[in-house]
Amino acid sequence: MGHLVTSVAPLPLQGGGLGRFIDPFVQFLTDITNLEPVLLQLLAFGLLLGGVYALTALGLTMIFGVMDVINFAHGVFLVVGMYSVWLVSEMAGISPFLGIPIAAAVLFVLGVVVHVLTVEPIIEAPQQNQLIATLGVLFIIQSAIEIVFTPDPQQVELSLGSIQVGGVFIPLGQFYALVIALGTMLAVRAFLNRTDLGRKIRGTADNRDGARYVGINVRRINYLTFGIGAALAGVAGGSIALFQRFDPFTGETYLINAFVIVILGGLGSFPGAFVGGLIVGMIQVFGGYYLPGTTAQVLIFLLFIGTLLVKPEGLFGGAEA
Amino acid sequence: MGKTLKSSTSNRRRFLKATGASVAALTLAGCASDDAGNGGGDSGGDSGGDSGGSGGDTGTTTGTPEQSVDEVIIGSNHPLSGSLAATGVGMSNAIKLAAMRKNEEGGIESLDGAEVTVIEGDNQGAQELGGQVSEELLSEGAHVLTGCYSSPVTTAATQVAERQGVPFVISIAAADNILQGRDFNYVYRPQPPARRLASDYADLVPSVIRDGGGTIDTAGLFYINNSYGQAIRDSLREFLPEQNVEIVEETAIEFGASNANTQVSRLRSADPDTIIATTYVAGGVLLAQALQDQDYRPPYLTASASATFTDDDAVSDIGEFANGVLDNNYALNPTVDKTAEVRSQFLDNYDQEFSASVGMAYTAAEVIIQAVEEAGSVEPDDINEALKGLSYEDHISAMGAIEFDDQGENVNALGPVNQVQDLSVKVVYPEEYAEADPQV
Amino acid sequence: MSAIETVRDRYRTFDDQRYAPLVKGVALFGLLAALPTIIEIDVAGMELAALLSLKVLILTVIYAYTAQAWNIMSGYTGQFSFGHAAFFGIGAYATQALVVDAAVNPWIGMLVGGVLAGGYGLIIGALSFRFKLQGHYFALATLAFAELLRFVVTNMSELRGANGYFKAFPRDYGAEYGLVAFQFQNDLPYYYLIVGFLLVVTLVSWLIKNSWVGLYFFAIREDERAAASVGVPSFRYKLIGVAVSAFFTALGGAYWSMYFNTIRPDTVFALFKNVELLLPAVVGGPGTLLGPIVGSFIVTPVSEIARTTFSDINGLDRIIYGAFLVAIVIYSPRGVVSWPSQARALWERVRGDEEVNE
Repeated sequence: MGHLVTSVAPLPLQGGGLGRFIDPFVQFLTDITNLEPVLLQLLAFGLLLGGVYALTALGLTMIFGVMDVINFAHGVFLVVGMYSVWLVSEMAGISPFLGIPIAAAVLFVLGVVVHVLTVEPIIEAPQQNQLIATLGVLFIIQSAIEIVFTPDPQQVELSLGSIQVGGVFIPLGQFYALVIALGTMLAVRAFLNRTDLGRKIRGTADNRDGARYVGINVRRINYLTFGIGAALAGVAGGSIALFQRFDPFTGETYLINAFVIVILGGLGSFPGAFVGGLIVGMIQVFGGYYLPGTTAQVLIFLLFIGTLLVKPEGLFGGAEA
Repeated sequence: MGKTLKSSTSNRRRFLKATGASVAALTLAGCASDDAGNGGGDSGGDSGGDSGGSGGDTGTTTGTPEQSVDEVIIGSNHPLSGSLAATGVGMSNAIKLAAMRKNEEGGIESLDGAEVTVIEGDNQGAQELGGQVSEELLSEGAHVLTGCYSSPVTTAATQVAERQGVPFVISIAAADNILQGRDFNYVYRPQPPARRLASDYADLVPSVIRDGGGTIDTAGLFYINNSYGQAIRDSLREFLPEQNVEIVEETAIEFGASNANTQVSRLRSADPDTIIATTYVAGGVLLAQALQDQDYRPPYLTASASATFTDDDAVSDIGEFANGVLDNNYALNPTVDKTAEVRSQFLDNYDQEFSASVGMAYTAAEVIIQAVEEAGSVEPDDINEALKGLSYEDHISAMGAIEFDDQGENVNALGPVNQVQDLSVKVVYPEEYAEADPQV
Repeated sequence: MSAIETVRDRYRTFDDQRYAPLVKGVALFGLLAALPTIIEIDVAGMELAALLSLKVLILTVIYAYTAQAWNIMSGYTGQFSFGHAAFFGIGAYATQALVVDAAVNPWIGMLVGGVLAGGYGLIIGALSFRFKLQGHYFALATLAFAELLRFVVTNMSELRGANGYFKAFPRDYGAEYGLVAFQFQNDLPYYYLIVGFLLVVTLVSWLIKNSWVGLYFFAIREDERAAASVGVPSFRYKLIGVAVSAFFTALGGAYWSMYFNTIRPDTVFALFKNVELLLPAVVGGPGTLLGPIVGSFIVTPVSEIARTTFSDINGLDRIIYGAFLVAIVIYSPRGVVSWPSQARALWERVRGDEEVNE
């Protein structure tokens, strides 16, 4: 397939000058006009990364959208999902793919327990209290994992390799995660749109007080939502375990990105989470390619702030759950 | 031996564990340390004077425990929990192992067989706990300190030692500024710091490749975007051109990133003669994965100060693809028998990997023990004098005799070249430490 | 009248006096000043120092200080900031960059940092308030502004990137160890210095609280629309809150950088720094003058006691600490400082019942 030698991103040369801010964009435009093949590759990577990010944001956006709770423990829920898949495949010798539904089940139970013990008592309290309560949960679960499984990194024994399609490399682990993300998104959407319970959850998301008036048991909706949100984190964590080593602290980076995605896409919106994930993934991939260091992350936060200011309801407006 | 706990008097907080070291030492060592223990109890009584007292002007330390010198206490200040703990626990264990081995040999000879005890404090990798844990260890009676893996934590921890006039031998802390220009009088570092590692890379790796008939004119850097990665990057920028290696690409990975696809695309586009990786274990694994996924490998895959390609577990996780990687990092000396012995003892006792970092901590502990041996005293100032004049050869690190300059840096510190051959990490250069020939 | 009631009535009479806040303040800060001595008093072979060393005291007062500064904005005006690490880091970086790269005295650097942070606060505030961000959205926006700085600094070689700064020696900027140099050779002066910082910010906080500014702040917190309808210029006053809070938080960052010798983007701009800075205020009681101080004297020592007590299993202390955080927000959502009045209410209810029974 020949090396893609033609496009050489400019060196992030030390020292100042406006050039370092402008040159990457010039380079980017040049590559576009030249139809550099590397762009296609980057597009694929952006799609794959975005899919994983979207998956990590689904549970968060659900809990945020329906209950108006910022769940800081979401990152460590992902980690519990990773360890679940790992345990299942290492100890029981079951395929890690089958471990993913098990991870979802584990997380559903954990989510309900966490909700009943910590979130429910303060669901009406000032928001900072929920934030600190879920932070406490984060510390508890993270350290528990550290004590039980040691802080050493773990890895699911699975080398999936990659395939090549038209000169574009597709790492299979991430590809499967993308497929799972899409499948999960469609399944949860169908659940929310087609089932009675799903409609009640959406109704609660739209208007909590109204939901109460029409006789919806908001309490029950709350713990189901938290459970499902956690289960989604289980699916996400389990999928990540297919291609990434992890330790008890892996969740933090994903957590921050998930927050960004939730806001970008709009609270409670699943398609929004998907688009938000793609945006973050694309910026990281293209930014990582053209910009020096990890400057892409700066762009992501600028975009995040911009969205908050101009369109806080997100790209998908929270119109649908 | 109850002595271990005796010094951590019951009214004091029990933040640290009297470690298993001395207990385990007893069961393993048999009569040698028994004799030492009996003899040391009385005869060594006054040689050390009021050991803990001389440094203890903090005010928080009251009542120095009345110790005769039948025990030398090393305070180990490492991250035992939190995200650095995976390595920190191993390092602290290595220090305990060094103590245990010394006790098996009969303890500190010059102190009539005084036993070496290690007390541990968990700094959780937090800057604000570095100094605190140092003080706690000192108030527990530590005669000399070691730590801390994370550089900001080490800065805080060494500050306390310096103020109290107690020697501190750094186990690992890569930032150059910890010692350089700090005017410290009590702080020492056997390990090569970041700048030294990068300069060793430039001095050694290109010549290994060229001697083997290879060409290395261009390099692409792949580094973790934190202080450690940037410090190595900056030094490589400085030293590589001197060896006629041009850096044609630099790409960074964020801590906790999920893959290195983009970075590899970029390196692939630049297609340098070598990729130089500077990462923690995870980053190097991601690099190898992404390289394979994109079916790319530069003529020479190398690393500078990377934790990945000196870690047997990581190498076996990566598999075949890791073979041939040249890496320069501090390393264990394979040419002495002691290394294998220590390694197997470590595995038996702690069921952990004896990685380069863990080995470096082991060497730091031996430096301390040797200094105490030469000082014949547990007085901090005596140990400090011994450290200043130390020339310690009988260690297991692949470097010359450990000797400290005015700043406290080891003048013979070295980051030799390793190569992954048949999925095991082998030192290949310089020749005096090589266990195998480099395969270029 | 029982003895307790006598005491209580006397206290109420005292409380009504105009000099009461002064007396209370003097008592509180007198206690803080005496703490380093108190912790060393030996009671039956037990020293408090065994639980609270001077270093832990310093850390406690640092967080009391930052929480007090946070409180001026978030406690009083109700705009919950989750990004105060931005201001903290700006203070630390301005101080160190100026002292190391330009040999500027750290006190000056600190004030520069305060002004820069105030400016950054104004930008954050102006944008967020103009676009009417509230609740979670405002909290996340402030967090984003803080994280933004972390990545900017990490990638900026002009600010030494991820390597950060190592504090210079006093001689490097023409000073000797001491107050002028902002550097001391032992911890005790550092302790008194941060107590002084806390005194200043508490005084400012008290002045605000007892002025029309504070009145406006509380009006905004309780019901912004109602406040605006009676003519409170809420936009401007929220900005004042942010700027003052940011300024003082930056001073805390400057202190941190001088006390801990070295700063990096991943220490002073750390994600969890945002939490640490505000936690005491939430635990103690947001919007109160005493809350941040009391809260810090609970949060930091609890974490310290958990660490030293449960050290046999590495990491267990974090579980205890996490459980403590959960418990405190569930059982005391209005903060610890509300306990006395709650206890009084309970007491009066009990007594009331008794009277009825009689």
